[in-house]
Amino acid sequence: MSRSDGPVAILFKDTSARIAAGLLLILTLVAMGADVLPLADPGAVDTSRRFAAPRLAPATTTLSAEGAARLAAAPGLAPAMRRALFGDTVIAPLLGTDELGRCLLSRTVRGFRLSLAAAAVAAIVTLLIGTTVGAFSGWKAGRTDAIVMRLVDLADSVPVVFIVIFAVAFLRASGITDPSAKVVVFFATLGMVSWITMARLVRASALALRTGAFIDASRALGMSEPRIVFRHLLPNLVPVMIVALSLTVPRILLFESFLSFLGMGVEAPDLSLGTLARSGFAAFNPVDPRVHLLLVPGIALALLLLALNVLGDAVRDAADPRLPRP
Amino acid sequence: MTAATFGTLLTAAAAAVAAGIAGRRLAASRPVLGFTLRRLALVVPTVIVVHAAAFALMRATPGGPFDTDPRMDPVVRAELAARYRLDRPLLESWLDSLAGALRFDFGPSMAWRDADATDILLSGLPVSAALGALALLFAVLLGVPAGIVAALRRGSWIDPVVRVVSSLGLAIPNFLVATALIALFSFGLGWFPPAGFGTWKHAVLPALALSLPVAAALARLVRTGLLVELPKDHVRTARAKGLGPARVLFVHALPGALGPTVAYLGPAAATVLTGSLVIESMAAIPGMGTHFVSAAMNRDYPLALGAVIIYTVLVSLFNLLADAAHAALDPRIKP
Repeated sequence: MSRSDGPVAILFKDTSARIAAGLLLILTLVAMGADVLPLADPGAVDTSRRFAAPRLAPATTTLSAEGAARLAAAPGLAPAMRRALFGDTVIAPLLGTDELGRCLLSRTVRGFRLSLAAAAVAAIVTLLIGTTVGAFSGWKAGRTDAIVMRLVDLADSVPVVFIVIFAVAFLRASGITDPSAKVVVFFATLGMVSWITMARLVRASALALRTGAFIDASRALGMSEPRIVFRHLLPNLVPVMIVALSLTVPRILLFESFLSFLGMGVEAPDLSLGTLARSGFAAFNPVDPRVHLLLVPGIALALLLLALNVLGDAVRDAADPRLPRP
Repeated sequence: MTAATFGTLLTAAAAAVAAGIAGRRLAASRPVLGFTLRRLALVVPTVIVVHAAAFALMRATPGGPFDTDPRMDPVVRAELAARYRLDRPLLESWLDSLAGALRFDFGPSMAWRDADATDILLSGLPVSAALGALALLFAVLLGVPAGIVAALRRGSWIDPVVRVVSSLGLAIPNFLVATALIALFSFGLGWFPPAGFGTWKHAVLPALALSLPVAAALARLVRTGLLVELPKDHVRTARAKGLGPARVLFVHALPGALGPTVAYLGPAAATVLTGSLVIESMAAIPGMGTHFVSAAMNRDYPLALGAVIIYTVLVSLFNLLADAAHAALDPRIKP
């Protein structure tokens, strides 16, 4: 590679990174466009086809009269686009059905969407807390830095998983009854416990940058401190923030599915990959293992994490070419 | 505040300060010992912080655990509140609870009315410890050789296979691994029981499921460490003076390459402990994880609090041991 290659060019020279990025893009588009795609209603119960195995034909059917009426009545742009594009056509339960005959494909797409949203909300919270703490500590340096970093060390020695389980268990008993508020609080809790990596990396980078010539120059030009921090320091911290996110986001996703699998995360009727796996495990038995109920959400999650990990490795390589390439 | 509470708090504070001062004194003459003592001193403040967070969460929840039954006689409710010390002023009950936690005495369980939370947790601890130790053993046996082979055979087909398998090992959630193992080895082949605990056979599948992510991380760390170490001068010298490949690898290359791997064993223990929450619940293993999950679900405050404190101490100790071993192995590390 030539010396002029920027980090993005280096990143996409890596074939596995290109594949991972493509996979991630497709999965995200499917999840975001779930309301436009002709997917079955994830809550539509059909007890005549409980625990149906995956089957590829027929690929599509038509909506029931009731389903069509509901689709016609649905407000908003996405259902309108779906009506215009696909009419009454609906994808058959290609990946099988669950204990109430609901389409597993459609449920997995919805669950995937919620898991992605979980990661996004938690990533934003992580960014806010981690960057604030890290940039403050690194910029101030000296005694302030020492005190803040000792507090971060202390926070780091707290086993977060157990505290989150504790928090979630007691959150349940709290006064919040609005389910979507509960989901947001849950995601924010995940973010609040995963900011430490971000804070450490941002702090190290800020500490190195604050003595840079461009900061001295800004000061010599008479810029105010907030202006230097927000216009000159923070933009230079973006690469390290991306590296920290590449480490944190897979962990948050795994953590969300883990909590939901234990029955402590997302609650019905909301779906995430973890709750789907939980109900799949409930149906798992030696006589008729019905493994598709566990495999489908499990593989969806594994694919997402694999793509994120591969892309994250490549991002870290591109951000720091001196590291030995794994 | 009772005399016992006061005594415990004073002893804990004195022990922490003494360990901290002794650690600082020994830093120059015995660096590893001094480092260990200073880190041991930090366990006490960590327990205090974790306890405070958990206690605050418990008390911030509207409605106590006994407010849910509307038919309960107020006298009975008052008796129960007194038994669990829920009727005391906040500061007093916080200090009492903290002193209890520092003594590993968490009071009576709320769900298992006749048992002490400490006894329940201690009955689960050996089960979880056996499972975790077996999982770490599997992880080392699987991960370290894979990393060594991948580094030595760089450029052959083995290296990318190890890389892909370890990426998968890090990506596949352990409940999926556990289910696949149960489907294959107990429903399919019938070699191991799918759930329960009693004989060594019960532990094999859960430990294997727990070990996979750790094995994957170990394989990567060993591989990267060896790739840095192998081109170094001292390894080339060892090879040039005619030492056999095994001696070069194990005596000259590996010790320098294993630093990050040893340091990772602390986080690895935390990974195994966390994973055991899911695996124990799935396989109905009566360990600490199962007790903790059911306690959190049932709002059994003393049991959940006790489990969190024990996990905190375990994770701190494992991190401390791993860092001390890392420092002992590599004198350049300034702990």
